Amino acid sequence: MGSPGFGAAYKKKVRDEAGAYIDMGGFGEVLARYENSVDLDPAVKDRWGIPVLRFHYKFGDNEKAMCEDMAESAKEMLEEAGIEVVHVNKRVLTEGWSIHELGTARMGTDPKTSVLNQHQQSHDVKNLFVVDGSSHVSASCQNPTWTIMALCWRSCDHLADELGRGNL
Amino acid sequence: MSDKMSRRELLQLGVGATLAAPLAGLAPAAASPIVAAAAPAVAAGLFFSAAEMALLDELTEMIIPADAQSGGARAAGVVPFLDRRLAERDPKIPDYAEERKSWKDGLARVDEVAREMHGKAFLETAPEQRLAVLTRMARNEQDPKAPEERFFGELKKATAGIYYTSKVGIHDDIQYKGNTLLMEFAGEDVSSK
Repeated sequence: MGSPGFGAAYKKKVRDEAGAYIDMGGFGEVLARYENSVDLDPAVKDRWGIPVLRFHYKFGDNEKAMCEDMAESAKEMLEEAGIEVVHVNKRVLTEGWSIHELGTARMGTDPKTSVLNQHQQSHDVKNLFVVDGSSHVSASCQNPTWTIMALCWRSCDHLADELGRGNL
Repeated sequence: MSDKMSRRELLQLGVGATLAAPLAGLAPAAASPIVAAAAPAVAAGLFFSAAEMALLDELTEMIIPADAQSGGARAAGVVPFLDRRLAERDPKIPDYAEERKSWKDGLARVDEVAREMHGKAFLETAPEQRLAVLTRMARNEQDPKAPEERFFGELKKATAGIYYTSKVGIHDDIQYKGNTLLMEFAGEDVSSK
């Protein structure tokens, strides 16, 4: 029914493509870009008068190239399986359509280019630990909760050890 | 909507002229090429005027015409169904009021485009001129901008949605078997295609 056009050709196309029908979509890792950021909107406030979060976020060349490859690979797989591919849609969903909130306080060894160290401890404020997905330096194609939990566990072990030694 | 229901509704609507079509659809489809049900609906609908019903009748049949396999939008009763659906949209709800208005505006726009292109209202033009008007409306289907281009999307979506859920569309045309018990599923060898 989503086929283009109208008339006899459209009707025939719908008929030819009706019946057993499957589609395939892809998810991929989104790399961090220096240009991406969030800040507080200076003008827009929520109903409690708190400034809303503002996103400055675009996919980069890697994501676009990956999407192109996903479409080609999916087509290849389906054709190898003996399936006739009637339509390939390479449209990339809008940024933010399908997300996990990750990043913005990336982990790293250099305080100039990262916010948190390997224990998710702030480089600048030593008694601040950020134990959610903020430390991630990219957004993988998989759900991140287990990684967040593992990193949190690791941070807590470190926190307990350092407290025991009187370093915090 | 069951077949019985649709015929009763048609009677209630007083759209006598279209009655022949759904009845014809009951005959075995295989025998001979199905001839397009001729007489367009001329009576006023519950929501659309008689002129609008006639215009829609032609437009929807052009989008999904009758062919050797099955009847088209006319035989499936697309327009009376659409008319009833819109009549039941309570205009006190803003979204519904807007939807109803967009149909009226869209149909008016079709006649405007026909006048711009051929100097006559759509139904007064020759078949090839009608085709030219509809083709112009459909030209930016993936990214419609002009009002008539947006209306084409709305019109086609409604036509296809109603047609392919009607007995004519889903059974005669697509040959959907419904909830049939399969004692054996033979599958199909796609490699030979």
